[in-house]
Amino acid sequence: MIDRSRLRPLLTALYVPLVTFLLLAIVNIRVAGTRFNPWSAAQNPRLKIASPVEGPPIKDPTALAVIRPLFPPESPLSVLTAPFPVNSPGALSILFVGNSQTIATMDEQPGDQYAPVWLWKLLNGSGQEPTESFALRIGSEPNLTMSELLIKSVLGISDSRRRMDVLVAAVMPDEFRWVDPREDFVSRARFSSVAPLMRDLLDGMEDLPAGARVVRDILGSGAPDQVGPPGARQAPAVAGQDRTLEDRLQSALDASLPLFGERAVLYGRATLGFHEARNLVFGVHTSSRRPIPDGMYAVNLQIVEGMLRYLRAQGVHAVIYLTPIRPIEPNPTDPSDLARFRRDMPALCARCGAICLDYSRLVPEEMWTNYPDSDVSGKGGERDFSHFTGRGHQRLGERLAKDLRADFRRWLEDKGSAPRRP
Amino acid sequence: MSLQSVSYLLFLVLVWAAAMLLRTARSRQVALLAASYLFYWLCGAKFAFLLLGSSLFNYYWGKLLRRKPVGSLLWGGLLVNLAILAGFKYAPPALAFLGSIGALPWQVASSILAPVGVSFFTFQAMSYLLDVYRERDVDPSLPEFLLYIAFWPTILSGPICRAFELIPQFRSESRPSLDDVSAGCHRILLGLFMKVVVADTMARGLQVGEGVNFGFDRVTGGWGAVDVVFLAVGFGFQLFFDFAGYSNIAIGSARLFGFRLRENFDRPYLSRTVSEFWTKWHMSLSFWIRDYLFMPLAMLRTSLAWRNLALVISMTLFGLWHGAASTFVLWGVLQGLFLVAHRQFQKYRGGRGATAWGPGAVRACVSWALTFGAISLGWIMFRANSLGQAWAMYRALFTPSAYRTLALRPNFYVVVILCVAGYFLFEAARVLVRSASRLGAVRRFVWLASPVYYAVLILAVIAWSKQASTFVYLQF
Repeated sequence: MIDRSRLRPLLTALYVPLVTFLLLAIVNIRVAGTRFNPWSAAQNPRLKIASPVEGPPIKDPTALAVIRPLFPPESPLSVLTAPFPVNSPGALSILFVGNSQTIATMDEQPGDQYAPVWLWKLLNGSGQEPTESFALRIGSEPNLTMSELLIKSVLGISDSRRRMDVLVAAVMPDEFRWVDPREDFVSRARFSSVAPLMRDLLDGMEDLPAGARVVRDILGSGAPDQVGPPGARQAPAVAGQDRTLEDRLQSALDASLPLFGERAVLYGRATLGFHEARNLVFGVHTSSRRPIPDGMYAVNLQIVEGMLRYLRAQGVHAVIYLTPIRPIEPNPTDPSDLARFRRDMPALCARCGAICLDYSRLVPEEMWTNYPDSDVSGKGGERDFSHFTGRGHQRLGERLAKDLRADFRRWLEDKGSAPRRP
Repeated sequence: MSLQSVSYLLFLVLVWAAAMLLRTARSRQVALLAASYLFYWLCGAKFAFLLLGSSLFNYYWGKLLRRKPVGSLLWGGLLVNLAILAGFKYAPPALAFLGSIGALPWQVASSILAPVGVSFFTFQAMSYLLDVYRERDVDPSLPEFLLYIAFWPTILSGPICRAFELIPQFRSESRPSLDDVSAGCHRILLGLFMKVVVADTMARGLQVGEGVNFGFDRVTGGWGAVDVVFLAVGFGFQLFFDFAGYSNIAIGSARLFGFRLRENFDRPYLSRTVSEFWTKWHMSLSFWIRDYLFMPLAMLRTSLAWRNLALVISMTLFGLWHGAASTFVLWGVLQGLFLVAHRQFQKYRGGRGATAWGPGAVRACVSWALTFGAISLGWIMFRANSLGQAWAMYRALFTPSAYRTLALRPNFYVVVILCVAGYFLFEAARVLVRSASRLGAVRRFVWLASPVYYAVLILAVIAWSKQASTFVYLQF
């Protein structure tokens, strides 16, 4: 027979851990069924965004770092996110990089294509391998910052056999409000094949101290945002020492418990909730003004300049275009920011031998759309200032082709006549 | 191995299980010693020999000192420890500086690392020698002493323990009680939450580029006055949650084995004077400085001026302990001056027999606000990357036009406000719950609801754990 006087303290002692465990088990089961795409989360439901798909495995980590398979393997467009072809005098390798604007369409209609796809088709005619003379590849990612663009550009030349010849970068003022790269970009920059190139790039940034510091921190041993006071920089020898064991344990937990495997989802949901609450409390709308602080603007300009200098030194042609901005007020882009952007970027490109194209007024108002009234994130009926329709993409793609075709042909001819790179 | 890693939790469980199987205190000591060296080896293999060498030296020097407690022997031992500290803590930044100006090959300069925890274990060793000299001695055996220095919960970032407190606990034959295990788990969980969720969010922001680090490391001039205020307060709270979180994990880890370590924090941001703050912030170091540096210095002469100077010297060395940077030294000087100002003010009021002004609550609020402001202003000097940066930030505070500009992202201000409000609400709730717990019904309700509290803490730690970074105080 059970002794009640002994059972009670036992149950009392076990109540807290057992019920806590039970609650966690319930959450674990709930999380297991969650579907969350970080590329489309918090986006306009009318938006169709090309997000990574499972495709044939790409063995070369550098190639995978430059592009992500965005189209199903059976699609003829899958070549646009395949590794660059092996260097040859008959083909110009072009890396097209931008933020989600370049790979997302509003209210997609049959026949709609993204701007880089238009550019690729217009340059190559029918544009099928193996005859493509202009091997354009898309390396765009949502919210691409300038430091991430810099990493992408270095990745683009890190494989000497499959090297880009041209970088076409879409630069949006809004992305100047950020500086540091996300951690997956940092890890790519630290590949053994990439880090020495990043150091070379850094050597050319001596007169760009703020930008150089960002690059130095990307290359540093700590986490990217883990920068301490001076005199204390040497210490974190702790991190990374047991990475293998820790990684194995983390992987085992990720594989066995959805609660761990879906940590990023939980965090993403928490931050989404925070933003929705913040927007509600402070009355933040998609059209609320988002000025770029002077300090961030200056750092980002330095990063772009460092990147362009390096590309020039490496014999890579660079094209920067200022992305279309929705021509309507109120607008999140501060007119004074746009003015300085349109003033500084061409000057910077001219200094570094790059082409600068200003498409900020290219896409008219009728090619932009709003969030649907039914949107549950609190943005119902608001304007989307980041993405446009298929017609906008076509307009942008055609304009790019028109403005760049001659240069691309000349560069291709130069490449064919130039002595082969060792 | 970091204290917030999964591998550490596994390590803790395995060592705890092994220790529970052992019957005698002596065998547990040996097991804990082996675990401590394994832990330290995992943190930086090549420095384990330094730790062992330093421990052996101090143990045998302590024996010598016990036999012949003379000042010259004490000073000899202290100087060797200070040389270790100087060589391993202050030389690497100097060499790195030489590397940065090209006086030393970059590869050589960048490969030099300071041993993890050298400031902490060296201070523990020095306190042991001082206690032996003062005949406050527990005459440890070699394994006991090695364990005292290398004890893994304290080796990386403290709390800085005293031999006479810790070694008797190592000798105890009793095993940890259920209360010890429960309290230990609670402290570890709370520490993880403070570090992984709060401190890291403050440091990096909800997204990279929205935190304190960005404000100090990326913005190159052009701070608005409001930015400076938020950065000062934000960094103060980041540091608190980071280091107090670490301390909670360390104290909780030791408590699982039945050992009680010194507390490091006692609600410091509720202090009403700077003097009070320094009895509640990084207590194990501030009391170390008080007992082994300030008191002996102050007793050398009786004049008030000398005592004030001793206070400034002590706090300057307190600053220097954090690293070889002018900002740390000036931060220490600033804290010393704050303490002297407070003392002089007290003396002035006492001398004039001044009566209290205004209602007590108003006095308390004004006093708290002044203290909070002074301490927060000091954090700018502590965290700034250079004196020039600190100066630029202080200057913004006194430039009227700087109150019109904001250089940081809106989320940063919101997160700082939420964090500060959360801290004070938590403290208020704690007081309320504690006083209401006298009622049986409230106590029962708190107990019944506690699984929800723990589940939320665990969930938050798991969700945030992919963003985790290293502890700030590992740098010191």
